[in-house]
Amino acid sequence: MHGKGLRALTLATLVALSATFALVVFWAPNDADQGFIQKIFYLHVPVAIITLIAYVVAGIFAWRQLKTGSREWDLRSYVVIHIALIFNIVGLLTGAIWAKASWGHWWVWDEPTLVSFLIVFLLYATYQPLRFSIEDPERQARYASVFAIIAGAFVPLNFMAVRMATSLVHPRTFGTANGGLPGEMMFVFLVSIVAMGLLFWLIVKYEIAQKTLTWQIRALRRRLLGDDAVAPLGRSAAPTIAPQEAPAR
Amino acid sequence: MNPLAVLAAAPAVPYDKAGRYVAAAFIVLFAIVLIYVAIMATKLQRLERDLGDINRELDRRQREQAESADGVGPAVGAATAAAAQENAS
Amino acid sequence: MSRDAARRDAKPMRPTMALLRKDLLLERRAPESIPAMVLFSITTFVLFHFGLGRDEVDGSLAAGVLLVTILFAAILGINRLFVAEHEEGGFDAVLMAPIDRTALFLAKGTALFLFLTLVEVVAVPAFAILLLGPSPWHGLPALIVTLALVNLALSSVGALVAALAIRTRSRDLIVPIVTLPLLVPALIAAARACAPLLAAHGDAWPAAKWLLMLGLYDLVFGLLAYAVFDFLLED
Repeated sequence: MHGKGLRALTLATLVALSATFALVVFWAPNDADQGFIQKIFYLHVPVAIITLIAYVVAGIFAWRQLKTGSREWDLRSYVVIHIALIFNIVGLLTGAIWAKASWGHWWVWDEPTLVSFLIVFLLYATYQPLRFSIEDPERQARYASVFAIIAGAFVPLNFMAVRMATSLVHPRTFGTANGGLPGEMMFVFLVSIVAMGLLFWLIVKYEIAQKTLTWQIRALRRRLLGDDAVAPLGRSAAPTIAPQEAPAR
Repeated sequence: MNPLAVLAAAPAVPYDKAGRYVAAAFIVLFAIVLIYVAIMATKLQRLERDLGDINRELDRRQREQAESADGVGPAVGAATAAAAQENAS
Repeated sequence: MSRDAARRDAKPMRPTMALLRKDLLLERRAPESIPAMVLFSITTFVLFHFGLGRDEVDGSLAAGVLLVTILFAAILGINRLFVAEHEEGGFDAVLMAPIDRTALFLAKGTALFLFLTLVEVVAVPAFAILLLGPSPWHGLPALIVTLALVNLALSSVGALVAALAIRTRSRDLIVPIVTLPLLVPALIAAARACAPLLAAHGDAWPAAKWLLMLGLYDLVFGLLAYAVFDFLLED
C-alpha cells in the first residue's frame, strides 16, 4: 500500500534531477563574480531549503501524533527527520566545499545558512539517541514527538538569530532566492528545488514502505513459525511496533 | 541524450579548480544517494530471506496436509492450518 | 496535607505555588543545586583565567565567558530538577492529584528561574572581581534585564528538557546534548546584548533588537513548552 505510486514518483525524480544537472552544467549562465563555482549554489541551497522545510514538516507530523496518538504519524515524523538528517549532512558537505572553493576555507562563520545548518544538525543529531534511550515504544513515540515539535519551532527561530548576528558585520555576497537573481538562474534554481523535494519525498516513501513491509513480514513469521522464529526486538531508535498492531487503533 | 552528445558538450565544463569543486559537491550527493541505495539493498535481501522462510513453511504445511489427512483435501489452504495452530497453542 | 487539599480548589495557581514552595523548602533544608552551581561557576572562571591566559577580559570575550559559564551551570540545575520527583514518586502524586499538570511545569520553571537568579547574584559579582576588566556599573541595569531574559529562556527550555530526559536511560547525557543546541539562539542574542555592557567604554544599553530576539525566544519556547508539557506526564 505504501509502495503505490513509487514508480511514478521515481520517474518524476529521475527526470527532475537529470534536468537539474543538465541545466546547471550546460545552460545556466556563469555568475559574474564567482564564475563557475557559483553553480554549487544550485545544489547546496535547494538541499538546505528542503531540509529546513522537512524539519518543520516533521514537527507538524509529531503534533498530529500527539493529537491522534497514532503510531503512523510517529513513523512519518521519524522517517522525515531521519532523511532530513542525511540531507542536512549533504548540505553541510556541499556548503563546506563551496566555502573552500570561493573563500579558501573549509568553514566560514559569516554564511548564515551554513552556520544555522550546523546548529540545527547538532540539535537533530540528538533525536536518535533520545529515542534510543527510551524503551517503552509508546512513551518513545510521545517523547520523540515533543522533541520534534520543539525542534521544529527552533529551526526558523535559530535561522533568524544566526542571520541577525551575521548580516550586521558582513553584507551577503550573493543573492539568494529572494535577492535579485537573474531570470535564467532563478529558473534553474526552482527546477533544482523541485528535484530535491521530489528526491526527498521519494526516499521518505521508500523508507516508510520498507519499514511497513518489514513489520508485516515479521508479523507473518510470528503467525506461521511461532514466536521463536522472530528475533526479539532489541532496543531501537526506530519506531518498533507496526501501525496495525498499535493499541491506538 | 546519447552519451556521445554529452561528451561533445563536456568541454563546456572548466576542468580547472572551480570545476573540480563543483564536481566534488555533486559527487557528494550522488555518493550519499548510492550509499542509501546500498543500505536499501541489504534490507531488501533480509526481507527476501524472511519471505523465503515463510514460503518454505507454507509449502511444508500444504504437503503435510495432502499426505496425512484423507478427509481434508489439499484445497484447504495454509491459512486454515495457521489458524488451527493458533487455536491449539 | 488536608490544608493543602482544601486550598487546591480555591485557585488554579494554588497547586503551582504549593509545588514551588515544596521545591524551595527542599533546597533550603538540604541545599544541593544552588551551591553546586555557584561553585561550578567560580571554578569555571578560574579555569577560563588559565585557559585563556588572561587576567582581565572585556567586551564580547567577557560576555562569552560569563554567559557560557551560566549556561553550563544551568545544565547542572536542569539535570537535578526532577530527580526528587523521579526517586520519591512525585510524578504519580501529581498525576493522581486533581490539579492541572502544567502546574508542575510552571512550578519547576519558576524554581529554576529563582535558582539561576540566586546563582547569578553570587556568580556575576565573582566574575566582576575575578575576571572583568572594565567597571561593571555603567551597564548594570541592562545586564540585569538581559540576564533575567536569559534565565527565562533557560528555565522554560530547562524544565521541559529535564522532564523529557528524566525517565530515559541516559538522563545526564541527554540533558546537555539536547539543551545546549536549543539554547544557541538565546546565547547569540544574549552575548551580543552583553558585549557592549562589559566593554570599557561601551553603551549602557544594548541594541533593542537583541533584547527583542531574547524576548521572542522566551515567548515562543515558553508557550511551546507550556503546550506540550502535558504529553510528557501522560502515563
